[in-house]
Amino acid sequence: MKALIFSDLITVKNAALSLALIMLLVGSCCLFGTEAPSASVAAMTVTLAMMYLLSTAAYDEMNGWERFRMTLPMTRTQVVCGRYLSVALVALVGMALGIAGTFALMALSGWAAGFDLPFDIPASVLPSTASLSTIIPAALAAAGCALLTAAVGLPLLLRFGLTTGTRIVPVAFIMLIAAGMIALNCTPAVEVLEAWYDQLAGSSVALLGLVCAAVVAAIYCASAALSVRLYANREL
Amino acid sequence: MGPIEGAAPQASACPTAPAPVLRCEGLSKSYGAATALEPLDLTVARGRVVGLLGPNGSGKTTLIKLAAGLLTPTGGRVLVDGMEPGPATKAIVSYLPERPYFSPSMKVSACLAYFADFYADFDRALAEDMLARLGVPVGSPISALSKGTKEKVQLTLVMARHAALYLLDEPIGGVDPAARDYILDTIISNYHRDSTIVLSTHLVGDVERVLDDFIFLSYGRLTLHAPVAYAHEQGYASLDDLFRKEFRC
Repeated sequence: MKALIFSDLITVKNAALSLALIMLLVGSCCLFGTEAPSASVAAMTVTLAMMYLLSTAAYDEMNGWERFRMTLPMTRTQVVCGRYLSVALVALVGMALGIAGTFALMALSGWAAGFDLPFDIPASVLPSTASLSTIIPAALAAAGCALLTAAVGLPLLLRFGLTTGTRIVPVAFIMLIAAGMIALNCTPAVEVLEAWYDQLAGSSVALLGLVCAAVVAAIYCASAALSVRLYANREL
Repeated sequence: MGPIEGAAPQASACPTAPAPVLRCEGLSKSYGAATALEPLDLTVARGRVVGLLGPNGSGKTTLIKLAAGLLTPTGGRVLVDGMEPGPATKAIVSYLPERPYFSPSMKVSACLAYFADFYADFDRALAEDMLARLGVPVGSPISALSKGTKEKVQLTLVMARHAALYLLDEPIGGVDPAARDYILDTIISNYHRDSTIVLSTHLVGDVERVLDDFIFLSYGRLTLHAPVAYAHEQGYASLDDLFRKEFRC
């Protein structure tokens, strides 16, 4: 299993520099565009996780790498679980890099503020205003959103591959969003969720965070179980 | 006694004969309405070099992929060393695909590391020796190699395993005649005599010198399975002549 996770990570090793630069670019745009460090860290976290997800799916189809993996002496369940674990690992790494990258950008802003620039640098992006109490929850929430997105996309990508998956995955998201909106409109779910959120947030934000993390983990594991069943029928 | 058309020749009746390394029992494969393999029964003994021969679209790759565990049968079953394809069979089967599957950006050394990580029977020293004789620096990226050299590297990785069954899908397709000779010599000089090689090709004239047995597939049907000597017994100058007669358009 460790070798499988490692092999997934190694496949994007050559793209690591470009991924990092893209993360910084996205983070910069969000930081200066929204003037909110929490947006920057969230964007960077999600960017790395999603780019990794798509890069590994693309690599699978390139050169028949997926066929190679199917000839390895391991079960398809192990192959699927290895992919889910590597995506989760990258989401965590994305959080760390997002936080570090955001602080680096804020430090750069502080350094730039010492020069006579033709424009003002917003105070909210200066390091003096950096607050871990907003940045860390933002990173955690972004990682959760990335994992939820992966939970929807991975079963389809593993079953159909990237080429077909790029057509199916967006449709799946639209259908899920539409179904969610219909469910919220037709049921008292909104009031229930609001009451639940108010109760949890009122008692402990940390408890709210833990409950959300547990929900994300449950959905992610259910997605892995579905992927195992779908991948069992994949033929190459 | 000669071979039976559409079936394997009579195997040795000796009760101490080892179990076949590959057995197909009513094995068939369809893709929707298209039949790639009609139900076939096949037994391949250990220690044989078997040519899986047939024109394009005859089902050679399908049969190999079924044995390698890349496809699931529509009917019947395939057994490798008495087991259905799974992690245990994949540990003893070395599969060479029709096209190399390493990314152009990967280095040869990374490919060696992959095989060493995943296959307990991979002989890294042997692989490095073979690559050195090929003149391929292990630090080279795959993209820097010619097409023929890439295929040789892939073959090196596959043959450097001490597998019970080697499944080679078109190992000499798409390379020049000199490279074909090199590949065939590499196959024969590096495989272990108690292992079995099944290699598929339509270039019969090039491979018959290394074959012990052959299997003819035509439109998904097994039409003949016999020792190479059968062709001469039937009055043909070579197996290639027999192939051309059997598959004349």
